[in-house]
Amino acid sequence: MTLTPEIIAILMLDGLFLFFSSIAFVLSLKLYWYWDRDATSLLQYRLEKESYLVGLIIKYIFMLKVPLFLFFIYTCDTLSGIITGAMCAAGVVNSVDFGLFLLLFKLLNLYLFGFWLLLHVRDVESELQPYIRQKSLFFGIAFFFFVAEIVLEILFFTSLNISKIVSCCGTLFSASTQSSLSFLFLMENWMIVSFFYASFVLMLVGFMVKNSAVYLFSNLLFLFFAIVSLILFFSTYVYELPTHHCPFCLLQSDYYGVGYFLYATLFLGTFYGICGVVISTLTQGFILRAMRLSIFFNSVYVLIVSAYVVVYFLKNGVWL
Amino acid sequence: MIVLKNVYKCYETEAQRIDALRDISLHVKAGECVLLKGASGSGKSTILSLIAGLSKPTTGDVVVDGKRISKLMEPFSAHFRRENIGFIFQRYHLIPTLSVRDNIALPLIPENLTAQVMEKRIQEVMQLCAISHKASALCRHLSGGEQQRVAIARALVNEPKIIIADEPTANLDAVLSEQFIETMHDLKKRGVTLLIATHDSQFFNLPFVDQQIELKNGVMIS
Amino acid sequence: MKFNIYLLEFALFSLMRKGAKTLFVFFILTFLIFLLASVLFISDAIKHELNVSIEHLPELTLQRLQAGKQINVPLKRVEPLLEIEGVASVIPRVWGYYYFKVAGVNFSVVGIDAFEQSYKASLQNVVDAYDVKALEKEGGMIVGAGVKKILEENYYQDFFNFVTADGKWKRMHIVGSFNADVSLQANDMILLPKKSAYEIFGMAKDEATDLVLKVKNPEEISTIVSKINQKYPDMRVVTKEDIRVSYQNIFDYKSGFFLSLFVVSAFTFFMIIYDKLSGLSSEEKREIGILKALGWSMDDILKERFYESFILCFGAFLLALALSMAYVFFFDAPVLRSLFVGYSTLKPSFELPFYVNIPMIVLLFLLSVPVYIGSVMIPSWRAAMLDADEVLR
Repeated sequence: MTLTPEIIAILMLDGLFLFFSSIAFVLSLKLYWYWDRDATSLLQYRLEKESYLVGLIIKYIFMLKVPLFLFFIYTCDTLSGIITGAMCAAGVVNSVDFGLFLLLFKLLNLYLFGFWLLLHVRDVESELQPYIRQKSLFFGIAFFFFVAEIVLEILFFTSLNISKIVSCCGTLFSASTQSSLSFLFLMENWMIVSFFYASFVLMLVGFMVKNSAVYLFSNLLFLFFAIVSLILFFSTYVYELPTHHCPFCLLQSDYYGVGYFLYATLFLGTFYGICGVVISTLTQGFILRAMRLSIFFNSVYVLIVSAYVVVYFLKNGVWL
Repeated sequence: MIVLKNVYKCYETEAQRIDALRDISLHVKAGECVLLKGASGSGKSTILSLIAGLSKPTTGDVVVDGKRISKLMEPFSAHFRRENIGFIFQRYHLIPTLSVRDNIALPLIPENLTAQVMEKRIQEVMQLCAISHKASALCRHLSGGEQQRVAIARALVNEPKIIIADEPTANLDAVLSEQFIETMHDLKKRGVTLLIATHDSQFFNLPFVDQQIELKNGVMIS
Repeated sequence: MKFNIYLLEFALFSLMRKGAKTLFVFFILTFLIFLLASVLFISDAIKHELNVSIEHLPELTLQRLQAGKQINVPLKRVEPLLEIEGVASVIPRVWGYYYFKVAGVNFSVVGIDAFEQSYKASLQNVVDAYDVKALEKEGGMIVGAGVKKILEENYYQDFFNFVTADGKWKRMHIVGSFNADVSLQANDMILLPKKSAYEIFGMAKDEATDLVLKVKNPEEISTIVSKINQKYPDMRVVTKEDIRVSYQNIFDYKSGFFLSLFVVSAFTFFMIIYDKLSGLSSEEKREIGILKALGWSMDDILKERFYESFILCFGAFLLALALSMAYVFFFDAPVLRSLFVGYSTLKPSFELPFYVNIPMIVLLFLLSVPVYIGSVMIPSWRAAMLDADEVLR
């Protein structure tokens, strides 16, 4: 097992997170079972104070999770220097069977924690704090996803094998049979890109008629097709190379780190679109703001990826 | 303005259970001056801290300015207390390592006002309480009377509707007690509701006192 | 929600009012982060320098193995190797370590030849500067700066007596010394004619220590390697890439080892801080009670405490970073650098190149600030939880 300083930092913080989230978990269970707004018992007063601690812990974890996610990608990038065949983070992540799962879990947990925090903000704004039970139940469930992520991450780093040869992103993100992602490449580019823009149009429609169900559904579609179309189509225009599909190489300085910006806007847009809308069903008055933020970030994303394509065509007169 | 309805308050420790208040009901109108009389341990301070929202009743309701503060969650009760109530403690409870000005500014910090508004308010109350000349002195270097004036200034800086004073003249001589009574009278004239817990007889025959409530062993006897 | 600067101000003054307690924590934090930063800086600087020097290395080094151990390569293998497509040159090297018992150090002895190309450009410069034929005639050698120093300390000013493999003395005259451009590699080096090297090591004249290959097209390395393996199964090929990877692994191992120790001490520190902060003095409790009575909510108190912790920790972080940079890059990190630079080779008196990058600082930040904030989180919450009523009675 390789123990680079970066891995040690991540594992140490994982340990801290596990410790604190376990406390938050136990407290959330207590809150769910015993919370009674109208009670004047000592237990209720204690619970009110403990609900603060839960909020504090989750804020702490979330504030660190976001930069840590980027740091994880960076760590995988540096590890590519010692894992044979890997040229960037993509190869390292894929060198372990569940590497991709780990990445998806990390993303999912960002959404889950973000959702909890959004709910929490709405909750404490009200004098009655009406969502304590919902918050606690939600965290009780999200906790298991979080633990799964940490366990997977520990297993990931301990099973990294420097002598096993892995594929680089060129092979991985291609139609070659060796790649586990080759099924993506079975679909035609024009189909995927059409679905991508269609889901965006659906989102605009949902926004204009202010229908949360349509908006939510379109965001889910948008998230999926945005990622797939980025890998299949748009990334090639960023790299100006028809065979380069890697979503990780976008983060490198050669491309001015445009990947960070793209992923940030995509995350924020879909986060407000999905989580924001869900929360609005519970709490009133937030839906407009959520939709506006979401449509803003998603539009920025669409503009940038489209811009790369259009600029390329204008510069060169041909498509890739 | 202030309503207590069938309030019970008991403190429970591992060793024993103390009933501090038993079935207390009272009504204070806006702008009134109310005295709470009784020996030490009779429950005066408990009533004051319930009204200030510093503690919650075991049973019963406490309503202040239309708000049921006995049911308010912590950040809201703190906000309410900040906006509406000025508390003058028996032992003043100033922070000794802070200056006079900084002590007075404490209730304003969470309000996050602009610097001008904040400074204006602080200067106003310092002038009102005749303590401007000691603005940068540390509180631990002040005399008893000066500390009391700082405590009053601090209670007034948020322009509260209610002033609560717990045994305010307990540590003062006759002259300073008189000055304090004068200040209270001034405040009453401005329409501030006053609640004063005291067993100082100087207060009992004052013309501006509207109600006198006597407590014994946690029960109202008049 | 507008940022409340008064809370920040209050936090800052609160830290100053606490005096001794603040200083204690600040110093310990600064010291721990300083140690950590220094180790990471040294490790990265050396790694960086080695990576640079690796660029000078030949693409392929061929060693002959017998029973898993390295033995000399017969020179008659050179021709067949040159016949492999894509091989530009094959240079046999004669070199080894000479243990100088009196000083307890190893010298690297490298044989040079007037007519052969040296495998490294810097060596070639030395060869060109000196007349190797004359060196051969008078039994002369050229030494690195570190070697010269050791010899002088042992009263060898103009010459040195090697003890050859068959126990005879061989006197070599110190003709000159060099400061190679990469001091890590050449500080302990002695260059002398190949003939003398053979004598000193007792090697047969038709053998070489190893062979160094240059290839025409670096893309073809893997094909050439497999061809060599087919021709001579007992030869091991070490590529430049292999060396780079093994260096990275060694450094990662060494810094990883140190880091694990650091994590343990950070954890201990965590416990101490937790313990210290959990017990609030009566004065502190009273102050919190007063603030709550004055209308500060739990949120405000938590924020204020967080600002206190963050100022303390981040201040220590910045100070430690600055001190560490001065320690490593200005004073060349006395004491700590022996962690990384071996023991039995001559300790080179080189300067660590200035090499700092953003991810390293992020790493340092992640290893220190979140840990400290984590350790003060629960004590701060406990403090903010205090009932004003109980405290002010």
